[in-house]
Amino acid sequence: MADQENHFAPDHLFGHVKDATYFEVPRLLATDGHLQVPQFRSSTDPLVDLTTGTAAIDDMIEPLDMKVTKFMILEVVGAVLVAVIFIRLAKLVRTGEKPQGKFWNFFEAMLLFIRDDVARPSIGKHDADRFLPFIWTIFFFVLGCNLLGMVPWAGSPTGALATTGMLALITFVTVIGAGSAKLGPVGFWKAQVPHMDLPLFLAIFLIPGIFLIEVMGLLIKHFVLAVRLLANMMAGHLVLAVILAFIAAAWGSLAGFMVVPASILGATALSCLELFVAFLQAYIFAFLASLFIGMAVHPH
Amino acid sequence: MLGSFHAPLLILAAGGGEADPLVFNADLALWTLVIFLGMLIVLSKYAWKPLIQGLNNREENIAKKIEDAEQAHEKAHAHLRQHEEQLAKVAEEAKSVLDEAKQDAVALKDRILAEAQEEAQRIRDRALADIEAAKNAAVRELAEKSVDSAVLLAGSIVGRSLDKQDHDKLIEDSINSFTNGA
Repeated sequence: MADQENHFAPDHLFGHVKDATYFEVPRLLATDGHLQVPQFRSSTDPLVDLTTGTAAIDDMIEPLDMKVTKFMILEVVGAVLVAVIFIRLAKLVRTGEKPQGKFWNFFEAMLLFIRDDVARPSIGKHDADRFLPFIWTIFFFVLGCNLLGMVPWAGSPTGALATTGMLALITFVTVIGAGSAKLGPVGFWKAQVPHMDLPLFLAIFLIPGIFLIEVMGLLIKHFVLAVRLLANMMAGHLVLAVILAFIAAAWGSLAGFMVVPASILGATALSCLELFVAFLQAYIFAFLASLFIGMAVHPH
Repeated sequence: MLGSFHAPLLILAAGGGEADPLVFNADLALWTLVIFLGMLIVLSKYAWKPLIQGLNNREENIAKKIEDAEQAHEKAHAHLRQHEEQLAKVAEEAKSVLDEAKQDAVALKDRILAEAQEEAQRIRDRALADIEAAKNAAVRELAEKSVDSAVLLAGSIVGRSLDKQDHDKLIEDSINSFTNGA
């Protein structure tokens, strides 16, 4: 092996997937291959001290320091793309004409799929239309972020826990809000415990226990929502990074003649799979969010 | 709330180093919230609301058009049935009119024929009667003339005139003989 650098080092591989303050670009555009994101603050001192004193937790949290990162910019790009597409589509639909053309049919089919096959069956036709803006926004935001990962030199903002965690938190708040609005703040929490005909002495012990389990379940469901999306987006890109790292590792050696074409074919095939996963995970996120809202609104 | 995310992360993050992919960037999280809420507000106003309205309007329109088409179809069907009935009735009427006309014609023909035959018979009868009368008159005249001339001749021969009584008797006899002889 000619190259001394370890292409398979976790830090190196994760470096291609995780958020950064720079875009990785061809070295033609930037000498070290890093195009730095302009920063508002020169200092990297945290604005708010979030340290808890426990190293394990402090290592996990990047504090508030107003650092502008790649994923922030990509989120804006995704949001603007979604806004441009659907504001234009809304103008077309408002004309009342019949749908015509690729643009109109393509995006309207997606909207109608989310409405008719995701939101309405999960939430119920009557309530679904109230939550449709939320479901549509979350689906297309996640889809946009996922698909940006397929654009060369960009990345998937949904490959960061902060993004998926916040989306899950927003969903969690929406679910609680929807349930509380429908059943009342107390009614919602009461509805978490299924109705059972228990003798009083059993109920005293069982009902708080069941309530605890159900509330834990509610929290875990939403936490898993965040981890599922994160893991899917990150794993796909990580596998792509590994396969491409084979090229760098085998470059210049005899094995390269076998490894390079295999890697290219593999990366192409996996990119197609990633394209599918991008849609699938956006669908799953929107579907589960609708399902949770549906369960909060119609508890039984 | 954030605490609920962190506890399981401790397990996931075990052994993570500088490039830990499970790092939670608070800035990015807040930024995601801002972007998402911004999207939700802007899109709800400028995209989702008009889209939902537009789609619902179109659905209602299509449902209404289908209903209208069904009604029109029903109406057309009823019209067709009505027209067919009318047509059948008219055809039947025409047939009955034709039959009646045919019957009338036959009756008229028979009547005209009968009348014509009757008329012809009558004319023939009259003609025969006329001929008979004329013949009788002629005979009578001839007999009279013959008697007269015979009387005249006989008178001249016998030298005396037959009186009126003789004369009539002679004519009577003469006619009788003539008639019997004829």
